[in-house]
Amino acid sequence: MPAMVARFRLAFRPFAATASRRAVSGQVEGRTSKVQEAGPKRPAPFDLRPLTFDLRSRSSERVSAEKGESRVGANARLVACVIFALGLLVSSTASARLRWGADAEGGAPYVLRDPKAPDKVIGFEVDLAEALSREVGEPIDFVQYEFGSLLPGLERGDLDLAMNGLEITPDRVQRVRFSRPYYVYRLQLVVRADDARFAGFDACAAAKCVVGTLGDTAAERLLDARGVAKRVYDGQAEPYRDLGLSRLDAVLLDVPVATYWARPDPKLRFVGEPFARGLYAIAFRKDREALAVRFDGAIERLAARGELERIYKKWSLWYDEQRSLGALGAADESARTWGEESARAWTPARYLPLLLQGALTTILIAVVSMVLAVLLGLPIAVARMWGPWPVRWLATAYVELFRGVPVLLLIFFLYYGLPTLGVKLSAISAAILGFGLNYAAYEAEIYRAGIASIPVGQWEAAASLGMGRRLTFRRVILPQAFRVVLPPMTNDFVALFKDTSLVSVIAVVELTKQYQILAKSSMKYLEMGAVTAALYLLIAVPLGAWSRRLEARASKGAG
Amino acid sequence: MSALIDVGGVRKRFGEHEVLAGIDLVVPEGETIALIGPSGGGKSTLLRCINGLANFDQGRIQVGACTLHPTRDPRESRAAARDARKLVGMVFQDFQLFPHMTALENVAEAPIHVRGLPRREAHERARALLARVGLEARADALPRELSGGQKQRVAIARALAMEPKALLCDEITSALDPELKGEVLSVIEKLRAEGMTLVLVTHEIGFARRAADRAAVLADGAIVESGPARELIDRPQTERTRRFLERVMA
Repeated sequence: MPAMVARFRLAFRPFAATASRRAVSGQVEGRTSKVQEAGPKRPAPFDLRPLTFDLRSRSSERVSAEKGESRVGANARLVACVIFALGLLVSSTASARLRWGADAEGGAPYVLRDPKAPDKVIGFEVDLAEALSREVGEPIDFVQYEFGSLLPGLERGDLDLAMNGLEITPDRVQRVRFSRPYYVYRLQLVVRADDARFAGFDACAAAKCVVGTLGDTAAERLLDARGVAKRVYDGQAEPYRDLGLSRLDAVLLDVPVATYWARPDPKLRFVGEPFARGLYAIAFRKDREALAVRFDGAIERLAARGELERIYKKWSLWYDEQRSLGALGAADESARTWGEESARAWTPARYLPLLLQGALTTILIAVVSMVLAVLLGLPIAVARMWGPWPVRWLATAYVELFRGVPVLLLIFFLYYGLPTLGVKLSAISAAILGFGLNYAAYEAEIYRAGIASIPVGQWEAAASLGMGRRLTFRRVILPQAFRVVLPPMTNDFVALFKDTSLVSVIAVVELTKQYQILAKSSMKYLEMGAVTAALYLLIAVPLGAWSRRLEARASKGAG
Repeated sequence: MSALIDVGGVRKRFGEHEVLAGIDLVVPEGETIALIGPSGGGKSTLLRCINGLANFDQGRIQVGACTLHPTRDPRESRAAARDARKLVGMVFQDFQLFPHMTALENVAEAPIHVRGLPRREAHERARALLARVGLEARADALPRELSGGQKQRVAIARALAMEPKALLCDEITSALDPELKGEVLSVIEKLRAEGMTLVLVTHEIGFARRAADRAAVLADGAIVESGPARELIDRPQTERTRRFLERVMA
């Protein structure tokens, strides 16, 4: 009887495993959903939480006024929903306070969380926003928004303005209305302090070095144009960290970023003069011309009065070139930038090879991780079932640990945490190891259930023939268990295959990341999304067919 | 005739229930003995004890030169069971063929991997064994492609492949349709004629009467009566046996 209970429990483990894996991907999606949540959190008239609260606690006049009837107690929920919907409508059209989107995640010195009061933001753009708010006479609220999604956020109506070191680029000019520029930036090359190989960017480009930068920036486009090998990051801290760890030869980023993140680091140094001049401006939706014009005026006045100089000096970002701001108009400058960067035509012929490259990386990570997981899973399952108690305990601990820790955290730890202990993995190895360790825990549980599902009579029949336990396991139990675990194993492989999109956190450009990068620079979200999805299916569908064939072949032996 | 299997004072309990309450049984080499009796009487448990598949709490079981004792050390009991199994093979009620192997592979598996026979020789002998049970034509069939009777005959061939001195048969026709029982029972009769020692746990009283030298009735964990099969079944000496036979024959 205890054996039956155990088997019952085992059989359920794989399902639990799938559920927890779903939870992991849920966390990742949470990154984007947090953006939507940011809306109702704002302390503004269209903030709905106080409103719904009013509804439930006391019968508010506002409700009876809007609905005409006041059977609040019974209909509170319904009314709240209606009000919520109305509120959303109102919030996207006519808001009294301006919503400014920027990314405070690793966003120094532009916008960052105040270390002394993490619920507030500081940064030179925060100071600028305050000055602008005074100038246009309207309150401006900060909205946390992922950098790469700022322009879509504007278009969706989540934001009134986006100001976050956005460079004026030809792609963007087609999509949004840029204000008069508020900052002149240049790019700064940073290398390790003890690295004397190159004196400037040209030497670096000639030396075929690998340069880190942020995705969808002027620096990335420059690297592409010059054919320099690049590694693209999501955050500003990570490229400099990897540079210090010799994972990169150099980092090319805007001067403000370099000033804040690289200059204080004794392991790093600036090489060459800042180059490739560009401009930051505030982005508005094209139909908000009136609002944009008011901000143009405000920036002009702040520049003329020396307010900009004061702010930039406070953040050590001032140099003489900024004086030209007062003399620049938005239109002519953006025209000049057009010439500097060749306009890109995003034809499939140009982006498809990049997506295919991403797909190859995806396949590489998924396949090697799965092989690792499959090989590691079996000894763990066997140790859990029959090992002496310390081994059994260790195997159980392994499964609980690696199944319980989000794979994202694990990969992050392997890549950024392990170097502290002197173990430096490449991004791909960290990804493969992370997935391998994580999935080995799932596979081990699947095997355990599969092995336990083989009737005890098979063990006895083999024993009665004089077969030892190991021989029985190898020749009789395992081949049958393989048949049982094949479907859940294939299922896991497909899940892993999609989970690989998580590795973009450590700057591995696989299929999903490549899509994000390309789509953000081209704005062709739909077209490229369809192509990317097709690529995923192109891999997953044959995989499913192959596994079904394998299952059919294996089940030929079913008695 | 010397005793091949010698069971002395074997007791075994599952919690409160005593499954074997002091069993003494001697099976001489070459004898066919039928263990009959009501369900739950301990017949199958006794068979499993002889083959080392189940342990017991008291007594000893001698199989050839090897003795099985009650032991708490799993390694010791496994070693003793391994020796015992060289002498006694077992056939199960539900066949327990290896479903992923053909009939031939089922039979050749243990000779190749336990006794280290070369594959070709093992296959040759397996073919001969399948011929002995009348299945040479189905050598390459998978178990699921065989009828119940055929499966059980493959299982017998598989047990014979290890050249045991005795075969323990645990209700080997119970899972079969009536018209398939005959083919299995005739194989058993053939083995008896060839001098194989057989311990048959069976509900086929008619077959036991015809084919067994001796019968023993197990009820409530004890042997209530034993003697020449025909005599015991035709003229039971104890009330317990009489009641059992009346119920079965009715």
